Amino acid sequence: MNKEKFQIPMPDERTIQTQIEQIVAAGVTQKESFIAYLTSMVRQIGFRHLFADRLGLVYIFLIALIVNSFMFFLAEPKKLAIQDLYGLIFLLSPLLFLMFSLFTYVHKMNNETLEVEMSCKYNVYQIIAFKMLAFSAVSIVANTISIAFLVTVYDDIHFLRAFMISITGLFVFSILFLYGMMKRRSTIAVATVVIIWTGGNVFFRFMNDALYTNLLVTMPLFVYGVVFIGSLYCYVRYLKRLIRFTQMKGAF
Amino acid sequence: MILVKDISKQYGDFTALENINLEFTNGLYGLLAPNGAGKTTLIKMLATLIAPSKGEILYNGKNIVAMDEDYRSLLGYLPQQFGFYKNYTPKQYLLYLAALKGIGKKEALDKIDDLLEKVALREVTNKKMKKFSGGMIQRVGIAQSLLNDPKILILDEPTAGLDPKERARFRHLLTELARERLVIVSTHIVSDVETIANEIIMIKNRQLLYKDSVERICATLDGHVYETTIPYEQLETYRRQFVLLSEKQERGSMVIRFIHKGEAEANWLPLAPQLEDVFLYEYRDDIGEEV
Repeated sequence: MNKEKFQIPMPDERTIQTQIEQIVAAGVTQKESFIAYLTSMVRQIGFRHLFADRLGLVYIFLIALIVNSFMFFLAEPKKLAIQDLYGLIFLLSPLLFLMFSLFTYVHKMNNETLEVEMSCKYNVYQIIAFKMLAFSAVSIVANTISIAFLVTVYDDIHFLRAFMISITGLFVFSILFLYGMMKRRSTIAVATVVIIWTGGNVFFRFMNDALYTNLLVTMPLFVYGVVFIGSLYCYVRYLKRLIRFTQMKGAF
Repeated sequence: MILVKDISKQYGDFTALENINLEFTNGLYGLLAPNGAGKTTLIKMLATLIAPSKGEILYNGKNIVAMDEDYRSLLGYLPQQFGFYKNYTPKQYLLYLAALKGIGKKEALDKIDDLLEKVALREVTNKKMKKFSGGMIQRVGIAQSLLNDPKILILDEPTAGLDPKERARFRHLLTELARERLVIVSTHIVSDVETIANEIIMIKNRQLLYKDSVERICATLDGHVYETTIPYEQLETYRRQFVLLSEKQERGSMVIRFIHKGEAEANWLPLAPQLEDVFLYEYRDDIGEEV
């Protein structure tokens, strides 16, 4: 009996590689980049729903504006020492970010809608991560405007130094805030970060005035630049983690 | 489809669930147990709201936690406490949740109309929810769980606050939905799932007691359920000796339904066991009965 032999031609190397790539492309889900993910989230959810609490945010913006103005302009204008001014800029740089983020976090975490929203495709942590990024941008703009005003009132203030102090303060605080939020997942942890930030600044100011002044007034700007870039990098990494963060580890 | 592999959940020293193994395919599953038995814990793990302390849950072979939003895209979930924004109308709230579920506005609007019709809330589409009754809020909750046409629908105590007519309507809706998806309904009300569930899951002492059809679960009490008529004075004795399932007054006497696993007396009428009988028997209080 003659058996028919099947001849399967061996594909060439190029065909093999192409087919491997096709199989891998079909089988492996491409991980979206952080920016692509956020863009797609904004497109699908829309700003209207992302900032459904916008009335609250407007109130907060006004409160922060009043506090800022009060601290810088109403308390004995032109009487503050230069290092105290820079110190205030550093201390208050995350004020707006903090108030926005705290409002959003507490509002979301304590709302009865949490469970329903956590079970959605875009859950509460992803929304918070996006909003925090937006809050950072708004804070940078608001802080820069405040500094511009300060420069017109206080001749000794250098815009670039004040700007670098402000932006560094904002991102260092943001990292601490995100760490507290993700590590302990409680409002108390977030409040602790705020107390540490304020207490730490005040403590440093009164316990080691020389070092504090040095850090704020004479430290080269490129050092601030390095700290800023490092903190920005860490901040984005934390936000990425927050986006992939689930309360599977046992939040609330 | 969904495989629950050896999961346990502990809260500090307290064990809520222990070594639970389950398999779900398409159809309707009734998770039936008294309050505090661990139903909500299991449901929350299936909805990825809490993590098992041990074991894992797989969907088509993939860990549901690792699947992240891919799993949540397949999921419709109604929690036991369905929260809402008081100043939103059902349409606004459903539009908001549809956006979080990644559904486009146009598609969502069509879907919302259809769903509000299904849960009989069409006439209050644009009324603020703060004026709604508990049953109406619950129906908004049911509608939101269906927004993304989920492949997995998990409902925790969905009939809470619904009147008998709404319950009947809801049961019809569930039967329709379960034809082409996996539906898990957690409840402590036997009648919610008795007639519609493909399988009933019962949890006792933190462990899986049954996962079977209503018929097979009822068969565990075959030949042990009786009815008899006794004078009122004997009621206390019967209560002490047997697991009483129901008791009603009739023409000056008491007609009682009870369970006995020994020799039957001549005046006892054997009855076919119902799911409620199994429920009452398995979760009976320690009454020192002889069974």
